[in-house]
Amino acid sequence: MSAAAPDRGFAPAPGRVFPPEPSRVGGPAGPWAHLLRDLESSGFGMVHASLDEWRAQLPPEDERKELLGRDWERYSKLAGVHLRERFLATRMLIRHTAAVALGTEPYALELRYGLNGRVHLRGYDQIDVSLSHTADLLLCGITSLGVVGIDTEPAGRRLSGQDVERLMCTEPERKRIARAPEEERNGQLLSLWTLKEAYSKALGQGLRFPFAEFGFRMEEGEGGRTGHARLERADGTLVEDHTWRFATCEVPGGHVAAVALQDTRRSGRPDTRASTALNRQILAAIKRSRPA
Amino acid sequence: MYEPDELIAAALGADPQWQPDRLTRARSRLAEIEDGLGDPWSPDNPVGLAAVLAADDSGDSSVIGIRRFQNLGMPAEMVPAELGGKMAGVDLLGLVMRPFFRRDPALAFSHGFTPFLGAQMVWLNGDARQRSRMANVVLRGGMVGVACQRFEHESEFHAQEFTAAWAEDGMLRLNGSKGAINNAHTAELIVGFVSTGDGATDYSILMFDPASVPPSRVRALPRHRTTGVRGVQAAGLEFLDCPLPGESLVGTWGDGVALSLRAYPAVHAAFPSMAIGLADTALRSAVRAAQERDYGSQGVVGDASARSAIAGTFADLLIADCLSLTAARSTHLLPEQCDVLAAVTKYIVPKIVGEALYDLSAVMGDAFHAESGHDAVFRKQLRDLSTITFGHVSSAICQSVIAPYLPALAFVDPDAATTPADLFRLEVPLPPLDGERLSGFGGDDRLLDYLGHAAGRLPLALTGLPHADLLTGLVAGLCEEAAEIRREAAALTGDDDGLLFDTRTFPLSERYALLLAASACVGVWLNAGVGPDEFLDEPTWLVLALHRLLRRIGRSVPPLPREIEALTCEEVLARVRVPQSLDLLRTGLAG
Repeated sequence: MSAAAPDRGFAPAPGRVFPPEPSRVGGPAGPWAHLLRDLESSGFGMVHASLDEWRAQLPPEDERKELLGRDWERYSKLAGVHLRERFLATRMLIRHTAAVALGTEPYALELRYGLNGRVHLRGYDQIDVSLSHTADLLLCGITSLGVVGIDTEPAGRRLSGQDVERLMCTEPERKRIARAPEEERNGQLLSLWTLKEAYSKALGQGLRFPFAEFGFRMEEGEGGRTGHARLERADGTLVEDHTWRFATCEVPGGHVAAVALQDTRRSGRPDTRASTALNRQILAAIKRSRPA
Repeated sequence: MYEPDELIAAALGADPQWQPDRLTRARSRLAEIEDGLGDPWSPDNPVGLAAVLAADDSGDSSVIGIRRFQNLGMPAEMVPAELGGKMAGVDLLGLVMRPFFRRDPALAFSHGFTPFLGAQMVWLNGDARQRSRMANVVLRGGMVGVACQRFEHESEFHAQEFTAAWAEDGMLRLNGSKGAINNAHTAELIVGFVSTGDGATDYSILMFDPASVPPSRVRALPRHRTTGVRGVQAAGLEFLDCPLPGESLVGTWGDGVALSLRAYPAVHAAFPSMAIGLADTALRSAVRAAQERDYGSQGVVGDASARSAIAGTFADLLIADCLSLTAARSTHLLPEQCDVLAAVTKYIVPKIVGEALYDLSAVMGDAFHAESGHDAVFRKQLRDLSTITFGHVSSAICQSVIAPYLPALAFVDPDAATTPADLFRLEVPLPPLDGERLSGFGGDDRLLDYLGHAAGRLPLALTGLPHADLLTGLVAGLCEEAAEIRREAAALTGDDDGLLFDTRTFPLSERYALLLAASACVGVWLNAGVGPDEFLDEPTWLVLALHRLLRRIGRSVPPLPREIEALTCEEVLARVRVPQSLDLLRTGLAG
């Protein structure tokens, strides 16, 4: 007889690093083992890819309509080869990443878009995905725990000294940045920007959520650009919602990324496979009830 | 149904036989419950939102709220008339539970939904003695606990399961431990799904009083804290070779899954309807927060983002109401066919409503993260919704019911039965639920074909009304999608056992669900499902509802004229001001 699990908390299990290091996938062939291991052990994983590498492996033009399904209309309206290929490469990355978790063929999947443009896997709510891309980097996160948002930016992107600081920061954030040494300010702003994007994407809001109305504070001892962060209100009050975890990390190729992850599923070992989603006893009972 | 002149005659006292019709009775009962609960926004109301927030923070259930639930006669609303209760239909049950879901989802979930779930299993499958025993417990406000089976795609309530076997003494032996059973420690009766483990069968359903078993054979495990509905008293139980009398068995040994499938339709249809009350409060609280922001001279309606989120959420609540009304009525009117429609309702409504509420987070802004005061109500409702809808495991159960029928969509039956208009009309009384007929599992949704029929009726129905071309175009888009779904259904492959499914089943089931939701909206509109209403009679809300459903389906749609969302948003603001419920019935609220 197994012991009951009385009151599971939400603290990440000891020994698990959050966020796990994103693994590199050179193309549709992977390697995917690293992602699968992260998903199975912590319910969350990330992959990064090079747009140029994936672009070189795109399916031929005459196969794209069928492969893209309902995305074809969007694809065909994009102006220019470059935009189209970027779109196709990102859709391929999402499909392949999701297919690993679901154990399905990537092109048997269907992407759907929320009313604000957030991407989901239609019909499969056991996983949630989030995509971010900039220049040559494609970054895709996937979770079986609840919802996820990720964002990435080139580490050298200049935000400090621009109007963006006034538009995106809360008062306490602006004060903390003003207190930081000049050479650290841009890095801190970049962290805040990616965290806000990631959280807002996880909520399905993109840039709709007013960025100056919520803030992030890096955890004690992690005052730099990467590490764990806490969500706070516009006045700097911490938001005590332990279902959420926030962190920033570095991505190879000179990028920073942020992850916002919510655990609402509360299962010790979430099974995400499509092949086990339908309940065999229910299927059998319905089949038995049918006239021969 | 009385004709208007008969109503006038009755009102003048000319007809001594006159009885208020079903709609009037429903409105009057809702007014009575609202009145008994008082203004939810009043800080002094012991069953208001401030008190509920405080109880939620400390993880308690509201004692006064429970007493009020009983004094207002809510338990009887769940019990069929032939067992001494007042339940007059699954559609009405969903409605009358809304005032409680509006204020205290934890209480409504534990004292309303959970007993109903457990009791349905017994009332539709048990013998006369079991049915009466369960009815007596529910009627006197006793607690019922439900121990769910484990699913491969488990959740907190669907991890672990009990096992049971027959012993030589003719009694059952119950074993195993389960960490999360709602009402586990307070239940007078537990309805448990137990694994039979005999190799030939899978599950059985048992009903027993946990206080009547030998104390040495049962152990109370600690409380299980849920993320939302924090006042819910879920906890664990462990049984060690625990003897149970043979009459604990509900229905036939080993038939547990088929028996539960008879009960699912009423549960799947009632729950989304109840949850509309929860979402009503969330939308109302977002409107209150928005009105405290400075939107300039044009106010909330002048802000495109706020207008769209508020109007859109209301349209989504009306979609949820149309679909759950139709599904609930189908459990009575088409019991042999209702299983898929009800599963579709439980599958898609939490997704539609959940997405709408998240869109309101941007309207809330800083207030979205409030942890006290009336703004904190919004995120609490969101958290509660996430917990009580059971998330993915519930989707998986619903998809398991829907999937076997998808291939049949490929075949259009020229002799198919027409869709009865009574499916959409709340005013028409319903026959009682019939367990035998509910075991038909016919799966004919009656809504996919209805779209074509409705498209034919639209030109006449839209005479003299605005947006006729737009609405006609949207319905044409839905009909095209129905044809596409049939084509895709024809291409699905499976095995001879009927147990292995083409993975394209999953996305198809979602688009199919969205399409049935759209069809239910059209049906309710064409048939004036809740009687005359100056806002609902206009096609404005229907245009917005169908537009959002088509966007979710992934089909291109024409741009919406600004006034569609503006008028809908204004209607929400008016209903918040008056106040009236944000659903089809527009009942007066206490606050």
